[in-house]
Amino acid sequence: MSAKQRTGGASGPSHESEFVQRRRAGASTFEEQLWTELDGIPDPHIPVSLVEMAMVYDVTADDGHVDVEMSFPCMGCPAYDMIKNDVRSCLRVVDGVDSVDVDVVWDPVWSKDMLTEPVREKMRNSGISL
Amino acid sequence: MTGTTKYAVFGRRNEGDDTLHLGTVSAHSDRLAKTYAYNTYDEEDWNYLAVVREEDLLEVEGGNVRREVPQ
Amino acid sequence: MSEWPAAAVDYVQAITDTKLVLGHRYAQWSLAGPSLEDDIGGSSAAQEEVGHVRQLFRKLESQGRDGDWLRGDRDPEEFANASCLDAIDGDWTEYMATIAPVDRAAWYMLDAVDRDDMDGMITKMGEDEYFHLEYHDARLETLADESPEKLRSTLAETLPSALALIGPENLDDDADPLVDAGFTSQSVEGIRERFVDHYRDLFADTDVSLEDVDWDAPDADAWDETRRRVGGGGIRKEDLVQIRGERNAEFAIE
Repeated sequence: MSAKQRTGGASGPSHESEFVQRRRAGASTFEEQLWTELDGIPDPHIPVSLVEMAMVYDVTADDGHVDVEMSFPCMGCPAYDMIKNDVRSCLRVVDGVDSVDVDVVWDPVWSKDMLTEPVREKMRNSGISL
Repeated sequence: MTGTTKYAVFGRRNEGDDTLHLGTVSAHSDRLAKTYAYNTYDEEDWNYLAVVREEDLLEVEGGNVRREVPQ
Repeated sequence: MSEWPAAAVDYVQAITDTKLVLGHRYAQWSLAGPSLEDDIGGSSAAQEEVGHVRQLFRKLESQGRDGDWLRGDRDPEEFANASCLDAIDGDWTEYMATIAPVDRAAWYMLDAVDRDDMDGMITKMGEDEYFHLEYHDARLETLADESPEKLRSTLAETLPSALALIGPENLDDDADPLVDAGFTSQSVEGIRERFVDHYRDLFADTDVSLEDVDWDAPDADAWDETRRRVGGGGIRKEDLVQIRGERNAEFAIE
């Protein structure tokens, strides 16, 4: 089962908040592909993707090297290392990617305002709400 | 625990949602009750969370309300 | 990231080590509270402190501190945690009267840091700390009714220890090297004042006397500026084994 299936299918633009759309706006075609790959990684706690959770802040690719900036809703997240590993593993296997660095940032501080109503609805339907 | 007061905990997930009765906490003070409620019910990022001393709930029906016209 | 002055690295190291040991104490006492709600709060605080430490380690590594050394590959005497956290041998009241002032002192110190590249991180930590400190004060208020004498005697030890973590009072606006370097926006003297005022107010209308507290501590001449304490000592070997996570190493994600 692909990560995409695990998160319950596609997460088109309507599932992305303005914040993510703004961050994604300047992406090259290749970076756009990487964003789509990351959109397949499920949050371990919640049936939505890391991109839908607005945890991915930036993706930049330069000559085979990829830098991902991401944040966490909780600083003490027990899945912190696991999620960072998921991001690295997901991108490393993409053609054209040689190395991946994940940088955790706190500016801006993650907030539930970064989530769209469809994502909240998806979470509510699973008995979870933020 | 002795000397504690029971508090009803109410929360709302999103603005416009119904405010739900989530449960109760017992605490020695209002201030402590608020932090207990925050920690105990923190599975959600509440839009609104409040505690009410159980003794301050004014019952309308059920509970100890007796539908009798006073003499 | 730009290089910090050496005194700033020591300052953040002391906050970090204090939070590291504090998180450990929260976890150790998280089944010892008088109610389930206290235990839930303690467990939650433990997890949050570990999260704060994880981020502070990254900042310290960027300033040249070795990652393994930070994570516990060092002697107890190399930890710059608040001295009163070295061991908590009393009961839950003594535990609360130990961790509360230390958590507040560490937060005030962090809150004084004035760096754009740490602003978001500190704001995020403050969201957690708000509830730690609110809970501590609420608990200290109830304990002031229940065990004023025990609270008095413990605070007489722990408040000066927390003041030593903050630093000596001679580090005022003119003398504090971190203010001078623009690393902090509030001097040690200013942080001390905020801290002292808070506890004087908190216990003002209670039966807990703070007359025995040495509000002038630490003596600037006896103060260890690296470990931010007076005198030696340190956490126990067994604490170190637990902090290193040696027995759980196989479960760690590399």
